[in-house]
Amino acid sequence: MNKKLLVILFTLLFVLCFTFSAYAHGVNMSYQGNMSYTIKAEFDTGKPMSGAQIIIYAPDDPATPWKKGTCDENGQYVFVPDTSKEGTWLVQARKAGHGASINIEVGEDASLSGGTGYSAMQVIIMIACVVWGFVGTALFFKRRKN
Amino acid sequence: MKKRLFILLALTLLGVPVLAGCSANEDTSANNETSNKTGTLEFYANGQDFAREGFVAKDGWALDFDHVYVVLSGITGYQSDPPYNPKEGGEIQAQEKVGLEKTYTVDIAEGSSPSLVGKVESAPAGHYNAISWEMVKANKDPVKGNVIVFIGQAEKDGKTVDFNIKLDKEIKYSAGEYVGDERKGFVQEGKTANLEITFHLDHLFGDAEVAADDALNKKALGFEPFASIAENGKLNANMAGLKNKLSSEEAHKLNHIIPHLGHVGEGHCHAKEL
Repeated sequence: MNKKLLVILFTLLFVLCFTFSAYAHGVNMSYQGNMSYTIKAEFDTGKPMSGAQIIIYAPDDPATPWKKGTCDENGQYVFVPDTSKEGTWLVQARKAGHGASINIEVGEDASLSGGTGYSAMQVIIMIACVVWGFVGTALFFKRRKN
Repeated sequence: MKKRLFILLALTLLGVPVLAGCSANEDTSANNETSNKTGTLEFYANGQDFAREGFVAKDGWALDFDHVYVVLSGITGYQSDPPYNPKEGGEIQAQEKVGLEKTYTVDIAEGSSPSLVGKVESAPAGHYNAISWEMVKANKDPVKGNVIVFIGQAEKDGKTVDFNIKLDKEIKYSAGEYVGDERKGFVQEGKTANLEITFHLDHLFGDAEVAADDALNKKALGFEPFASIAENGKLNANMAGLKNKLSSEEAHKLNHIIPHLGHVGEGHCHAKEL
């Protein structure tokens, strides 16, 4: 009984730890190493868009500017996104009737919130748990008969 | 019995972290629900104040347009993912797309605001962040055989030119998100959103309000080449006529500029000659 209990508890602990590790990875720890983004805007000629207006939109309220600013003389603008707002951020640069926009992914990969509903890691964990449930149950009853 | 209950409890607990992990997808379910919702997506064509109010070209000719006809076909809005990058070109990858089936001749010099081309009712809700359209030859008057026609008067130093400039180069434009004062294309249930096709006439004629050495004016043709081939203060020419009368350099410049007329607000497009 004690051995069985230890095996089950160990298994539980292993799966729980594995799952939470995956979760920690899911919020993209790697993004924490690059918290700021440097936007560089230039014309086709290579001339920097100095003084260009910058408008940043966060994914939670994509129709309302999250922040506005101005490029420096080198056409650069640095901002730090709110990493709790996961999704696609949009940054627009405009000057003298001409502009462009770029999309920046922040947080989990966009496919997580896209069509399938589950990440590959979640599917693997779910399958592993179900299989382990069947195998463990079968082994338990088989051993009891022996 | 006690052991069985314990095992069942343990197996049940195995599912807890999985369910916790799945909780992040609640928003996805909500998003899927919105896909069944519909609203209206309108498509506008905008010649900006350049077309509606006129402007002074880079070479000092004051341009006043009676009409600027553009012939638009295959107008389609997309919910693209990944967001379309016109710099890279290629096909727009879309989860949803809706469009107008007809070919439209629109006078973008008319009125005081962008012209409504058409609308799609019951467009699936979501963000339409890309658009494509074709500028094709009209098959009926007033612009038969042409894709864009400029009709108006130009004036400089007491000289006047009545012009009717007809261009027939067919182009397919593909663009990402509108760049301007506000983001466009957010269709919500029961509500109306819009997308805009924008034409920058200053790319062709230049703009006296911009520095002469600005890239815009360097690349623009201006109006002087057109004025110089006018006869008795009138210029009525199609593409073939312009190629004959303009210098080869001017004709080449004109040919190069046409694909750059189409924009989405201030954003540039990927242009492909048809």
